[in-house]
Amino acid sequence: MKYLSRLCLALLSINSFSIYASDVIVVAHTTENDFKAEKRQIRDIFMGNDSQFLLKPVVLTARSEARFIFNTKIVGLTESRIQSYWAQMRFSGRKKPPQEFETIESILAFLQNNKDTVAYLPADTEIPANLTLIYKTE
Amino acid sequence: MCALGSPSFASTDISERIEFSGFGRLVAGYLDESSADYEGYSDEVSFSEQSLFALQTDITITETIGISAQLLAHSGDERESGIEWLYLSYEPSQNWRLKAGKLRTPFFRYSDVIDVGFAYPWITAPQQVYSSFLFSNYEGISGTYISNFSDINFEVEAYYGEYSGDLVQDGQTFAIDVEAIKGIVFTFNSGNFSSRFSVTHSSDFDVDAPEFTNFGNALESAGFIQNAEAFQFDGSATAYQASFNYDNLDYFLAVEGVKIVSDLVSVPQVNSYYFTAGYNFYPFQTHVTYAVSTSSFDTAPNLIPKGVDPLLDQLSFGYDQFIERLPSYPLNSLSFGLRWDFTRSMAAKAEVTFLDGEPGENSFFTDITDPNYNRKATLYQFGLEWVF
Repeated sequence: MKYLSRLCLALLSINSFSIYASDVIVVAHTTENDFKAEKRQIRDIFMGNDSQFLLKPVVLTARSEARFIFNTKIVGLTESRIQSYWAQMRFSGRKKPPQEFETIESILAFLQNNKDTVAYLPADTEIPANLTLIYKTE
Repeated sequence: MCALGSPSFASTDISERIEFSGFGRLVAGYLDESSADYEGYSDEVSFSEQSLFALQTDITITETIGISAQLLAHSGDERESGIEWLYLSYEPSQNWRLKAGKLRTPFFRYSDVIDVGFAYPWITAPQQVYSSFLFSNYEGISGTYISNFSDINFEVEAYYGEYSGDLVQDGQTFAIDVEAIKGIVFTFNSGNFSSRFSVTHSSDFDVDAPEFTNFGNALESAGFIQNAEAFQFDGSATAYQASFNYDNLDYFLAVEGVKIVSDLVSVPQVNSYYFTAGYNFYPFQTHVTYAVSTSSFDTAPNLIPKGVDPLLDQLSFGYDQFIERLPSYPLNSLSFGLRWDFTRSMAAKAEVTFLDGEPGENSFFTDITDPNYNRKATLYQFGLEWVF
């Protein structure tokens, strides 16, 4: 049953991806207003490889469409390869995966309340005034 | 129907300061050969060689200081259950990571996560590289510097420590103490490309093997210092490693090569490498892996004359016999594997490995009952890997 529902979800997300081939935006709570990042830097931030910016990444759960788009367009790895990577990092004591949020509302609330945080969101998300758009996929 | 819960790494814990996570694997294997065992597998299906369960606790004391512990329960005969990791970590900035305590020795790319099957594509990582020629953990300190140079992120880790425990060679277990383990690891990554280079030097061995040391002392008192050295474990072993990895949405390629230089009779000199190519069709992944190893021992030529004195004859023949009996590990293998990530934290794997060793040598086979056995076999494995 669980597998069926997962399959259903997978089909749904592939389907919706192909119909509404959409983009993600990367939004940060930062004091620098004209801060912009490159794709490579965004990838590094979310894979725990960034030593330049002091931004803490947070992410949507694996069943969000934005995550699927982010994995495909920015990270360039499948969800399972990313999970393998985080298992290696966590259990060798190197780094931990970003904290996960269920909904866009909860992730926005977290960003607004915490300085120096960053998240990716569906491109049509309305950005609250105290957050800065730092990247957009094309 | 499509709403479902899934376990998450960043699960909400009782206290935000204490995080629990863990991993497990259930592996079944069968070797189609009755004359020998390979990695504990024989011609009877076994679930106990690699199955394990581990629990990790990470305690945040302050923003920069933490304690981590990993407890592991293993079903294999040659592996002890207990504390695998226990360390204090200090991360004063994003550029530094310092640890002190009991740590896994990061010899090769997957050495410190070799129990975390979820982290790699194989069921059994290529034994030519990942066989436990050396010791899996150490007690000491480790410092890592993390930075970037243009588009390349890099980490440099240096560590120093000691080991006290068992060393298994060719089915025999020795109690050993290693006083000085020094290592340095360079890791580079840029986008989907990563590479790793490391050197580990271990010296000041103290091995509890009375039959060896007594023989060594007898050789020494007879004046054959050079031949005696091998039995007194007065030497060192150095492991060199290089690996390259490329990963994208569709496929992955990895190659890792290892060279162990040793003048000890407890650690062979090894040259080995593997090459893996894989194809992703999410949620599935396949791999083909080819691995090769050769080995030798750096022992002094027999300087003890024969036919001069019956006592010397005894020593000389004893020396020859001992050298002759040292295990050798030439092995070629070809594996095909399939992985299915049926949830984000669970994967099922199937793997078949064609083993081709050298007749007359150990070639990683143990309990060889037929001396004429051709050192060829096929290993079939099924596994379930999970993390939580």
